[in-house]
Formats: sequence, C-alpha cells, structure tokens
Amino acid sequence: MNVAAIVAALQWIFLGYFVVLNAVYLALNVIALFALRRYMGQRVADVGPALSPELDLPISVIVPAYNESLTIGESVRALLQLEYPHFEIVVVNDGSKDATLETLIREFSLRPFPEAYRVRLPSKPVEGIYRSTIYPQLRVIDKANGGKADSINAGINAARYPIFCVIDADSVLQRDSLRRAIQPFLDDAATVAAGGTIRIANGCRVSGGFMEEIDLPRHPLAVFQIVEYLRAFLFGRLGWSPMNALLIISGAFGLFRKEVVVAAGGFRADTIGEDMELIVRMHRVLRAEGRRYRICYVPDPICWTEAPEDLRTLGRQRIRWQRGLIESLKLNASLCFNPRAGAVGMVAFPFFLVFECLGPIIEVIGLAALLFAAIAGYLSVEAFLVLTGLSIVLGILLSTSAFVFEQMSFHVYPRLGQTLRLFLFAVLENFGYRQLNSIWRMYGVFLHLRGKPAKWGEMTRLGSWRRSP
Amino acid sequence: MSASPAASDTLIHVAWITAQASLAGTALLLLCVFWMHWRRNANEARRRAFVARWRPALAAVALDGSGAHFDALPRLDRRDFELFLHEWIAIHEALDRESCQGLEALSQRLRVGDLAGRMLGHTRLESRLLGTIALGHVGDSRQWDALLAETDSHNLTLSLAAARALVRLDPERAIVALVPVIERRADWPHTRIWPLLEEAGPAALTGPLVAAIRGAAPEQQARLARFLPLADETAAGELVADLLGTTTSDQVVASCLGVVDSPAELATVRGLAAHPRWHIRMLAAKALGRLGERQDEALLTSMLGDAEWWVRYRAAQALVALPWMRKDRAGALRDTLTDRFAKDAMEQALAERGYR
Repeated sequence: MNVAAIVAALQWIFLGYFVVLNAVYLALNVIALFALRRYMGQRVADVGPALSPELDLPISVIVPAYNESLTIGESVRALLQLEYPHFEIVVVNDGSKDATLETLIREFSLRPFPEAYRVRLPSKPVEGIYRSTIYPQLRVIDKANGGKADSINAGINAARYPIFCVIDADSVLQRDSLRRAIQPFLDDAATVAAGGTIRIANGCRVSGGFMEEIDLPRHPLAVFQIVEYLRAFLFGRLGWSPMNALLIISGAFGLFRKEVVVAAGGFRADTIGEDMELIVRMHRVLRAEGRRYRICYVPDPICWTEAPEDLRTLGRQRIRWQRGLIESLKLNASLCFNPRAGAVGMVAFPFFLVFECLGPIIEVIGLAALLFAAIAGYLSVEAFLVLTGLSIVLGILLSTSAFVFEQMSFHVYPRLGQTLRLFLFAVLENFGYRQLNSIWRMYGVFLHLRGKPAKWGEMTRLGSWRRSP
Repeated sequence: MSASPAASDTLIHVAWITAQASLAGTALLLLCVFWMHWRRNANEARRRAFVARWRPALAAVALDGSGAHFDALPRLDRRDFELFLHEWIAIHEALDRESCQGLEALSQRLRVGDLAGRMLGHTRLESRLLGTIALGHVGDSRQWDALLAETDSHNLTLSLAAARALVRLDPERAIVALVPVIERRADWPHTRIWPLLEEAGPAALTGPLVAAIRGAAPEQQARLARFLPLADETAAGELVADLLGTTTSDQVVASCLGVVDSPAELATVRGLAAHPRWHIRMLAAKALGRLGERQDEALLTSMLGDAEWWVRYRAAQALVALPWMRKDRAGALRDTLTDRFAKDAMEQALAERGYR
C-alpha cells in the first residue's frame, strides 16, 4: 500500500469518526432539547402547598476540606444559609497543613463531640469529631490526610441522613440548590444519585458565599472553559440523563442515596476520578442486581466553581480528568456492550471509550496526518481546508446549540454582548485551545499506559471573584 | 475556502457539503439565539407591565369581594391570558379559600373556566399544566371528567396537578376517585400524594382510605397505611390495631409502626422490639419513645446493645426523650452501661440533647 492510499484510507477513517461522533452529539442535542422543554414546562407546577416538614428528605452536606483556611469560614456560613428545611453539614478536615481546623473551631465555636462513629466505609483514622455550639447541625470530622475520596467516605460514615450531598469547599451554591437537586429523590424513590449544573465563577462577584453578580471573565482561558461547560452540561449530561445513562456526576456538587453508595463500597481512594468511577460502578452494581434505579441530572441547581486561568494548572486538570476517565471505564469494563446494562452498556460506555477516552489520540493523529499529507502533497490544499474546516464548523455548531439551550432555559448571561462574546470564543477555541486540550488528554492516556501513579497536584486558586460581605 | 473542491473526490465533496450545511445550521442557530434573546426581553417587559396593572387590581377584587371593582379592571387581552392565569394562581395560592370569594365572580365574568378548560387539550405542556392548576382554583366542576382523565397522564407532574385540582374542586368526591388512582399509580411518590390528601382533610379522607386499606393486598396496604396520620385519629387507630394484630407483612408492620399512636398497642410494639428485621426493631424503638411507659425504659436500655447501629441510636434517642428522663437520670443510666457500643450511642444522644 503506498502513502497516497494510506492517506486516502486515513481520510475516510477520520471522516467516519467525525460523522459518528457528531451524529451522537446531534442525537444528544435532540434528546436534551425535549428534556429541557419538558423540565422548563413543568416549572409552572412549582406552586401549591409546601411539603410538610415530615416529608422532607433530610440531607447531610459533606464538605471535604484540605488547606482551605482562607475560605472555609465563608463557605460554611453560606452553606448554613441554604434554603432547605432539614440538613446537616459535615466538614471533613483532611489533615490540612494550614489552620483549616483552627479556623473552624474559632469561627463556629466547635467543641469535641462524643460521636458513635460507625465505620461503614474505610478511611484514614479519624482523630476528632467536633460540633458547633452555635449551629448544632454543623459537625467537623478531623482525620489524617487521605485525599478527597477518603474524606468523603469518612463524611458518609458520620452522616446521619439518608441522602448526602458532596460539595467542594470552595464551590458556591445557589440558595435553592438543595431544594432543586432533591426533587428527583422526592419524585422517584428509585433515584440513587443526582447532579446539578456546574458553572464557572471567574468574572462573577461573590459576596458572603453567594453569587452577587454574574459576568464573563476577562481571561480567555476561563471563557473557553465556560463554552466547554455549557456544552458538557446543557446537552451532554441533559442528553444522557433521560436514557439513565449518565456516567458522571461532578464531584463539585452531587446528591447520593447513602445506603446505595455504602453498598457499592463508597468512593475509591485509589483512583483520581473518584466521582465518575463511583457513578460508573453504581451503574454496574445496580444493573447486576437487576434493580430499578435512576441516576439523573437536574439542569438548574447551579454550583459555581473556579476554573484555572493558567495553562499549567489547566493542563494538569485535563490530564487528571482523562486519567480518571480511563480508570473509571477500566475498573468497570464489564459494563461495556453488556446487554443487561441497557443504554449505559450499549451506548454511553462504548461512546465514552471510543470518543472521550481514545478520541484525543484519533484527533491528534488525524490532524497531524492531514498536515503531513497536505505538506507532502498527498492532499490538495482545498481538501485540507475542507476537512479541517468541517471539524471547526461542527464544533461551532455544537457550541451554538448549547447557547440556544441556555437561552431556552436559565439565561444565566443575560446580555446579548455576553452571548456574542461566548460565540466568538466558540469560534476561537478551534484555533489552538481544542488542539491543546487533545494533546493534554492524549498525554493523560500515555501516562496511564505507562502506569505512572496519578496525583491531584496543587490548584492555583485566585479567588478574585470572592469578596467579603 | 472559497474554491470548491474537486467534484471527483467523493470524500472531499461529502465533507464540503457537510461543512456548508453545518455552517448554515450555525447561522440559523445564531439567529435563533438572537430571536430568543429578543423575545425573552420583550416577554419580560410585557410580563412586568401586566403584573403592574393586574396584581393590585386582583388584590382589590379579592379583598373587596363585592364585585364593585370589576368595571375598573384593566382590559384582558387574549394573548395575556396565560400571564393572567399565573397571577390568578399565585393569588389563590397566597390566600385562603374564603378570601378568594370575590375572585370567583370575576372568573365567571372573564370565563376563566372555559378558557382554562380549553388549555387542557393544548399540546404545550406548560399550557396544559397552567390550565389544569387554574381549573382547581376556578370552582367550576364542568371539567371534572377531563381532569380525572388527566390523572392517568404519563406525565407525573401533570397527573398530580390534575389530582390536586380535583381535590380543590370537591374534596369528598375527589378522594373517592383518587384513592384507586393512588393504588394504581406506583409512580406517584408518597411525598407528592401527602400534600394532596392533607389538603382534602380528614373528613373527606378517612372513609375511602380506611376502606381501601382494609381491602388492599399487603403491598398496597403498606403504601396506603403511610397516609393514616392524615386520617381521623380514632378510625386510624382502630385500623392500625387491626393490622398489627393480623398482618404477616413486614412492610405493613413497618408502616403501622411509623404511625401507631395509641398506648393500647404498646404490648404489640414491645413484642416487635425483638423482631428479626432491624428496620422493624428500629421503628419499634422510635414508637416506644413516643408511647413508652416507665417499664419500657429497661426494654429500650436493652436495645442499646443491639447489633445494628440504627437500633442502638434510635433506642438512645428514645430513652433521652422519655418525658421523665432528666439530665442526671440519663447520665446515671449511661454510667451503668458496660457495652462500649451502647455507651457510644447513649453519649451521642445525650450530646445531641445538650445533656453533657
């Protein structure tokens, strides 16, 4: 086979890859469109008598904290103000090296509490349990450092209520986030997990732990990530959710039925994508049991989080996500093409395997092959431009569809100028940002294959969007 | 990319056509975004103007009740009818039924019932829901059958909205019709049925609910028995006593333990404290906390040594909440415990109650 034939074959392979990838995205778009219309339509029924207090499902809010002394006080104060009738907060200090525990003790008047701590999930040793004398619903678990998953497991052991919510210590919730996110559990007893929308807080102004003003950030890297998040949540998760094939609920904000998580073994401390791994494992375990269950996405409980604004941190994050994805799929590989696993096994898992896991490799090799073929003269300039142009235009099309969903629903960025700026970045991301992402993710695959242990690394947080009340 | 690629190259041709189509799709979607943005702003301005005109007017009609304000009401444009219904529903939800008398006369004058009834056949879910909810507030039973049919809708929210509308229109008649629907519709969650039945009131609920529980299979009995706290206390108490004495279903026992409220059932509850299922033992501990006598203190103390954490925890909570249990007595009880797990549970319950 000569080089020209190889180039021709590669062209067909890459075109086929793009056609299938975009056909799935298109299908997700259509499903998400109906799901969103239905969800928004049903909001009319948010009238009527409030639930009787005895009907509320109480929630344990678990907040793993590591070296959060600067923001933990404000974060916990904001959580205490959430609009939900019956919840407790369990902050898990994961062996912080700074004054996180001392800050909590001082600001919330914590005292040692004789908890009948029940070890249902393994975690590093618990060194102390405290309760606030001002807010009885606030407890702090002080434990040896073991990572986020380990901390959440300790929090689950201490949680009193049947539903627990995991949130990052530096995330900002809307006041009604718990009320919205609990709805699937109230509507269907088979619901075992629900995740909300994560948005990027850079450029916004937060005061007293709550969002005060929403705006776009100045830094282009953060705006690119806003476009990505809109796509990922508004048609990605919203498309998979009605098929009960959601494979991830973000670790920054998710609600879980405690007994199901405990029965599944809790969060794995030996993976880097513990949030995704748990969801994929829950699918595997519950499908194997033949149990009816639901894992769903609720579009509007918005949780705001800070996105990295430097390439180094962003790159590390993307490599970590990619490795987490691979680990999650590998550890639960029996789901793949398992007819008992329904849409999860037959559609979502293979899609994630081919397009999310291996996709970056195909994309990088495809682009390199196209460049080589064009430079070496195996491909005409027109053909090169058409093929790369197609990839770019399809990307822009998908981003624009996410903007339509945004207009249909929550209209978080109300000014037309903001939407236009997002559109501009949806175009610009195709000239460097997307390719860089693919390279990082491909490197993540490479590191996984080499078997190098994954580390979380330090996140450089700017917190410029926070201000004191 | 101004030059068209060679037509002979099929692949490039396909890619070229797809790219053009995608570009056209993007342009179309972008136009959609602009249009939706403009429409949303226009609708919001319209809604604000409508609310500014109508909210005080509706409040005046509701407060006055005589119909004297009718002539001063703004003209209701047909395309504002959904906005009107939003306001109409909001004011009914905010006020009790007696305070809405003036609004009923207005609804007849504006033919709200007819117009809302037509919305039941709408293809748009939001309109159907709005019409359904509004009908419950109109006091016009002509759409009864249509609403009853809607309780069978595949859409959970719509079916429950129809059920609530029926309850608001005629609680007695609604409960008779709805209890079989509740039995049939396993997808109606307990948390959504409860407010409906609560709104109907014990007078309307008790007869049909008790009759349905007596005639139902154990699984349905367990589900329906959870609503007994909303029924008349005497009838519910008699039924719980009967069920606890006769049923062999753990589910029914669990439901009954959750609602049992009569000291006459203490002997049965005590017996269930040794049930092989921990969930039943935990509920028995809770029930003993509500109904228990002094002699039950020993039983609850023995439950502190249960193998299951939840039983120990609930028994400890029940103990410290007993009416005669004071701080010193509870502390002394803790000091007598030799089992570490029992002591832990008691320590926690004492701390939660502020007895440390």
